[in-house]
Amino acid sequence: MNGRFLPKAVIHSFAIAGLTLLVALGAISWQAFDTGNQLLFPELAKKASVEAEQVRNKINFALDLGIPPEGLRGTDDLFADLRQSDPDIAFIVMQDPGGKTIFAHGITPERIDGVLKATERPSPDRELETGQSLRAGYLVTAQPVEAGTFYLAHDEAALVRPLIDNLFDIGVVILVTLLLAFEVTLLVMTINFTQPARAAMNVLRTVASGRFDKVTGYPGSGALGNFITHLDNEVRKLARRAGTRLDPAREPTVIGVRLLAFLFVFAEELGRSFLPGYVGTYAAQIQQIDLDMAIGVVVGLHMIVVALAMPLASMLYPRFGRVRLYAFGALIASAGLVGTALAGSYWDLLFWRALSALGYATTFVACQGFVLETTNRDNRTQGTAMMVGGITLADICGPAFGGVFAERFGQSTTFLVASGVAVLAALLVSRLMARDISRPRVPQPITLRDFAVAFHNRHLVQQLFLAALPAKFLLTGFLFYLVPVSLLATGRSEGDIGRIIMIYGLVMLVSSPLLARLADRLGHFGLFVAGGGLLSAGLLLLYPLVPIVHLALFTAVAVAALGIGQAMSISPQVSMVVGMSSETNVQRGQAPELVVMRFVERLGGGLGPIIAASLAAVYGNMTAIMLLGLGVMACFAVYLLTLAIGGRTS
Amino acid sequence: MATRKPVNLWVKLGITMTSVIVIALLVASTLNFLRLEETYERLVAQRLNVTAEQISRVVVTGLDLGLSVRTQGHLSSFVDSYMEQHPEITISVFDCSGEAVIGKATNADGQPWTRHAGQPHWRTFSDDTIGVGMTVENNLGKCAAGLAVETSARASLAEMSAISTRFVLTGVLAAAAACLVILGALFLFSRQSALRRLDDDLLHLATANANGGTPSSAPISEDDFSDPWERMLAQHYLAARPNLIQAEAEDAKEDDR
Repeated sequence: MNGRFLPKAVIHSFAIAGLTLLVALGAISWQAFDTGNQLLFPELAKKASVEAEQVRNKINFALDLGIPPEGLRGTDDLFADLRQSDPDIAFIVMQDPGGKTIFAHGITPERIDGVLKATERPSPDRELETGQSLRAGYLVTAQPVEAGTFYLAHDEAALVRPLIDNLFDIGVVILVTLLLAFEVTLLVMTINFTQPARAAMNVLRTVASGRFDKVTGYPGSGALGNFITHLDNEVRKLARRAGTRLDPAREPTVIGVRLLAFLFVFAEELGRSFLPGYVGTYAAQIQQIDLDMAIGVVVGLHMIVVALAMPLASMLYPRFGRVRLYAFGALIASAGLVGTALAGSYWDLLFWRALSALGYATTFVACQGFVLETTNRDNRTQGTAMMVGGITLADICGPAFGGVFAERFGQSTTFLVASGVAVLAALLVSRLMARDISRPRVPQPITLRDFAVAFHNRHLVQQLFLAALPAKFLLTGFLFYLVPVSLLATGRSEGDIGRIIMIYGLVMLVSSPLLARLADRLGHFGLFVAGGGLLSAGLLLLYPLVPIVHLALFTAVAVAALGIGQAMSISPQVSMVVGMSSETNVQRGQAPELVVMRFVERLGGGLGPIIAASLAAVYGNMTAIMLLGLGVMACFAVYLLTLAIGGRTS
Repeated sequence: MATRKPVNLWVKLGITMTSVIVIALLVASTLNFLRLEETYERLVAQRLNVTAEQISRVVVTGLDLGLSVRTQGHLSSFVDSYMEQHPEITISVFDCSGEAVIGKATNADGQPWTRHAGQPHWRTFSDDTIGVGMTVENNLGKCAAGLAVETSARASLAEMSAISTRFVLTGVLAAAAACLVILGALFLFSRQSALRRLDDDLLHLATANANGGTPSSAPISEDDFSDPWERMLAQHYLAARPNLIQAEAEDAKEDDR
């Protein structure tokens, strides 16, 4: 979305709002740092004193046994134990009465003197315990022992580290609220400015051609509103004289689908970052299925139910209509999310997740139908882009915000909030899905004939099973299952996981239009699809070699690569499949090949977590990621080969 | 039925943007406060854990000597002297059935220690106390005793409450300042709309009959409109304007007749 859709004044207002928000957040974060230091420092000092006392007792005990200071063994283990129970500890040092260092851990002997001889920093308003001082960024606690002095140092920055970590959470809040603000502003502007302005231009065009038979039909206030009201009055007056019948120039509002798509996907995505961990707590209670497998089944089941329920929802569409179908779906999804939050057992959870998926599929079909009904061949791509835009934003905001929220308020509460979002969507649907539609159309359910048409085409079969399916399989198996599970296993929080999953949506948002344009310009669609697939999976091969401490960083890079890879292949793949469809079908706006591709993709999406979980159960998470990457790379390598042999890279 | 007066676009934008600002600042303030509270509780719990670990070592030493927790006479004097040095904490030692050996059989809220049975470590946060506890195991890995160390957090929690009020106040002030800036900017932008010129021209044109002649507003050019949307509207208006003038003139003739 760019500035062409909004007047300059609104873009400027939005920029001012963003800057003001940043300044205000800066002010409250500074206050948090300041207050944090005041409140936490005395507590850090007390803790340091107790810890130093404990170590002093141990050292004195050893010295009492007659062990000479130089002969003290196991001080490195002592330091490791201390660091394990309190990561804020920076170093321990013991010096004899002459200042000679007997042992030092966590600091080089060369630096010790620099720190211990550094000027003591005054600590106004800070309560220090006996023997404590602030030097060179450390809180140093000195304790006399029988053979000298023992020093225990805490990193002073450790106090503000949690508050710095908090800035990431606040960053997510800013991103989510600004994106939401943009969504709502876009909706408000489209309904109140863009559409009335378009209608006014439409009326002026008819006047320019000498006819006075259209009015905008928009009520209004403000500069544009007054102009439109006066224009309508003028045309009405002239039409009355000429005895012309007036038609409204307003068009159905397709923008509403953007917010509706956003809301139902957002509700589901809120739990994305912690769902595997959440399922794990239930799965641990059952003995019949392996833990990993049990988690994978729940995550995968959702996508399989979505794939299978969509044809069913399409059949219900003509009977219920888009508004009722959407509301019905949103309420089912809401019930599923409440059930997920309050499930009593693993089997309950399985049922509620399936119900939630049913609601997701229903709302999705209602949105698709709405786009079909409110657009024609000329603007259908724009309508679809509206819906995709809403989904992409939800993919970005949902996992990140859900992760932050779950970390603070709990996972079950987050599912309850998600359920509230789904109810909100159900409440908004009658306002956002316009009623003045003159082109009733129904999303076509997938039929056996579609499969017959699709599978009759050898190239399409290759496309489906060597490219489309593996791509979605990798997306769900890696991003939705193995990323949360492996990061959770290394102690990462829901917030961290959400932020890493969010990278996928961000990268897609930025790179999709650029790469689609590049693919259109260069024309080598096959190479783009294959290249995207290989890029998505390539980094996964390195997982077993990645040290645990760098796992989160590496995963963030791998998720970004996955996003770029998927962005490279999505648009060219659709172009290739449309190219394989019959000309007649495409002209009629129907392509069974595309419908089958979407179905196969969703099934692949469902299988991803299940197979990833099976691999993880046997080989562990890191090897499972590597094997997943290897399998997908093999598919795309064969795909590339078939393209090269058939000369179909362009 | 009376028709509802349409709400000005800028008012709607103002409501949207100020709502977003208020929500963002509220969430940020809450997150900051919760993180602060969590860090404080972690620091206190770490300190209490050090004490619990120290006492557990004494208990384990006794167990290694074949003494059950009830028969470890030295334990009581150790705990007493420790509590003398650190009067802000209370220490309880209990057997595996939850019966107190030293101190109390319940926590500050009156809950029995047995509610933590089987847990190697635990933390409790109540209205005015913070506590940690652990299960001490014998060489066979079976429960030998339980320990609980608690401290009053009343003073700190009162301070926390004051901090939360301060955070809320700062949040409200920041939100109010931010909203003022945004509403001011929106107000200024709303006054600058060049569309007013089109509207004036249209009104002149519509009332030309009554004024007895041709439209009298200053001439309009596309170049007067810098915003692409306004320029597009102006283009369309200028294209339609001659027909509007002509229709008005014919209308006037009809009236004269």
